[in-house]
Amino acid sequence: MKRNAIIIITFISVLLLSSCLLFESKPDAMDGSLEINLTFTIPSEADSTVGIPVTDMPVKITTSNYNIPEMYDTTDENGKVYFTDLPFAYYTVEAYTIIRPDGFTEIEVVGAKVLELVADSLQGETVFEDSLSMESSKRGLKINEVYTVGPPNNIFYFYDQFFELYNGLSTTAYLDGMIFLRLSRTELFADTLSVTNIYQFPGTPITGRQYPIEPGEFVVLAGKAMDHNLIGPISGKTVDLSNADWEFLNMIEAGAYDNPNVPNLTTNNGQVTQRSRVDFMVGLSGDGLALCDGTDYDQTDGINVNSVVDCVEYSSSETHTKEVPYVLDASFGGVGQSKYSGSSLERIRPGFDTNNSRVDFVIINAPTPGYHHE
Amino acid sequence: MAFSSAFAFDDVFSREIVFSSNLGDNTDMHYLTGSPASIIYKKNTEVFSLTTLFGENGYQRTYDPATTQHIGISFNTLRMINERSFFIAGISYDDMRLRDMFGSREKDFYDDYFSTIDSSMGNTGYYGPQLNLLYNLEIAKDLFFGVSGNYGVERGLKDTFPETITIMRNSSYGIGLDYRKPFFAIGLHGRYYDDQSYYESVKSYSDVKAKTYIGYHVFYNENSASTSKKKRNRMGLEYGGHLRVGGDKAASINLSVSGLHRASRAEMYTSYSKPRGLWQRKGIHVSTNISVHPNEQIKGRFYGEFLAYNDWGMSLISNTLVLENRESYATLGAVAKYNPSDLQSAIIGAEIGKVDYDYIEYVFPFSDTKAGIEWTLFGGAEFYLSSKTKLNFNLEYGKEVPKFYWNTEFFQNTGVIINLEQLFSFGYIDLTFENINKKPSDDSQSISYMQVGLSYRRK
Repeated sequence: MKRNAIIIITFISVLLLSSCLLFESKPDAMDGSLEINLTFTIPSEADSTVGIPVTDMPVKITTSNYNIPEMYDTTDENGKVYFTDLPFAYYTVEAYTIIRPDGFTEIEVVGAKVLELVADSLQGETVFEDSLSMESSKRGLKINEVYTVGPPNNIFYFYDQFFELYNGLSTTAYLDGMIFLRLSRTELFADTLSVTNIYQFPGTPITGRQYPIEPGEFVVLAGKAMDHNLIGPISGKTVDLSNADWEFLNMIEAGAYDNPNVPNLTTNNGQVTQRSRVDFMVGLSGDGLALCDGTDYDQTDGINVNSVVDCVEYSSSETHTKEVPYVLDASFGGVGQSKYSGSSLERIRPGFDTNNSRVDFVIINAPTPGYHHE
Repeated sequence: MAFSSAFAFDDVFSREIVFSSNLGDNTDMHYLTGSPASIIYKKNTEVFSLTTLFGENGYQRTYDPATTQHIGISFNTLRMINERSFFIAGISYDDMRLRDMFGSREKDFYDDYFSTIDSSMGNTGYYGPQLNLLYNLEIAKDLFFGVSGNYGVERGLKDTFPETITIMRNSSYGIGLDYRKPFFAIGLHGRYYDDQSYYESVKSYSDVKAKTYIGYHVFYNENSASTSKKKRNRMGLEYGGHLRVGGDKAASINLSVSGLHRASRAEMYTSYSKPRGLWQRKGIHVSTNISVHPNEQIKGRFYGEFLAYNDWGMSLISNTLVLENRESYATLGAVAKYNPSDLQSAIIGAEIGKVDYDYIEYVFPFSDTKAGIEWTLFGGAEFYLSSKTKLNFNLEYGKEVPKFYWNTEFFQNTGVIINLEQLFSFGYIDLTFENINKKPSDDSQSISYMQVGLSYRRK
């Protein structure tokens, strides 16, 4: 009987002990309790260190983490907006308005920011407060669209890559001598860019006037300037680039495709040195691209960041480690984009640039070479 | 009920209607407790069975398959080792096909709060063996000790793009003590299970776009990648006690009380782990019945069951509470069996139950509170068509209150089981046909299951 009692007591003890050890306790904090309070200001003309509240401005916040809808609020008389009952996530805040300081002037201003509001970064807090200083949209010659992922296919076809430039200036810009770079990893506070591939427009930088791009004009730079729909498995799924404005050509690639009707973007008569023996291609789901004025074309010691006209970093992965200095691009766009999906990355509006690709670019379902998405 | 769904090869899509017509030996409490110590057998037995189940989900939830097909083959044997102990061993092999299943990477999307979908629509086949063992020993006079084990592996393959491979492994271990006298029994039992599932989706055309649901409304967008992997670990613990007062020949009351814990953890991973969610369940299960045996011809049983549990889910992305769920089921029933002779019998019964659901999601607010009454009427008969042929049939009609994701107020269930048993010189051959139909209250489509089984039992 004593032996049986020992068996029973041991049996009960093991059961109760294991039930205590195997399971965790319920957390106290709830998701969906995050509150974002933002204040939008614009620098005073009299004293730029003083911010004036921007009132009655619609503000949008979105997250690509969850399938929750976009949320909107309008700034009150103090320039504040409040968003409540949100999950912890990464958010993109975007605000846009036109300010009329007098009867004859309109200033287009934007306020945009990416907020990393995951539980770890907030350290238990559920209220996040921040202020955003509105900036004038930086108009200029911009890389407007980046199409890299390839069309839907199972033959690993991605040779239909192209880039689109847009002149947002009110005057004509000239592409003479400009260089287009595929970047490699660069220190985030460096003053020179590391380069994987370099291509240069013909002509003389800065002073050349042979290759104009008019205000509001789009220019398409094709990897291969051909009608890619002629390739059977991807027929009807991709783009016709046979009428592109420029074509990348690697002079040292054996048997490189060259459309004789499209001018080449190559070495500018040997001024820049191409080291790769393959086509100009960029990463399908992540890379850094820069358009530079061409004043610094010696890639051996890096390209001076001051010569950069526009720069874009993109990656499909939210946890991607930035590879381009913050001064050129504060973040990266393309989060969530899939390889071989036929989607493209384009600025929200033509030339829209806040120096923050996560904000400036959206993923669109299909590429739009030479025009902007609706 | 809440416990066994973790078994890799439980067909979680078919809701079996349990005919409460089992008016067997009152002293065998295994059917109430699952305790390996409470099982009573007195002779060597061998059973071989082949079962096929076809299900057609004319009415379905978003991530249910359009049709299911399950073929199972099993062999179980019981051997008396000596007068004080016996051993049961069983092996089975199952093959289940889920056809036209949209997106779900899971075998049962609705069985977990952190289920994953991808961009596919296709057919999945699951197949694998299971092994069951049970040992029962009378360790002292009237004191029985039992242990049981179950081990199964299963592999699944979705035949579309992205292709998804699933590998599951499950094991379950039970232990029990039963002090059993003809007119009294008391016992303890416990059971532990765990299972691990591994999923891997590989792209064909475009990258795999996986989404991890947090509850049933909000999902987390995973990074697109050429390969998407997921692991899920589940475990559970059940422990309790049971009591019987009375014996088989007179009135008896049986009571089983058990507590249950269950936990499930999901994580995505690439080169490193990305935990996604953890949920736990804590519950109580009480079963009781009172059997009466007023004379040789009439036997009756009143039974009651109460099952309640609380779930909570935590996002391992934000380390916060993301959902809570409370459910309870309280059922009362009665069944009477009339045996005018050894050659024929009839049963009739009814049960009524109250269900309560209270479900809350916090990520993006959603809540659903529902309560309702379920009921079932059932009846059947058993008689010999000839000296060696026995026919048994059962009919059921009832109402079931489903959870919110069924998007209907209630189901009207009808079921029929027809069983034909033939005695041969080498043993019994048993042929079973079962049909269950679930008709939603506000839809013309229904869900139907048809099961055909063939088994052999040695004489």
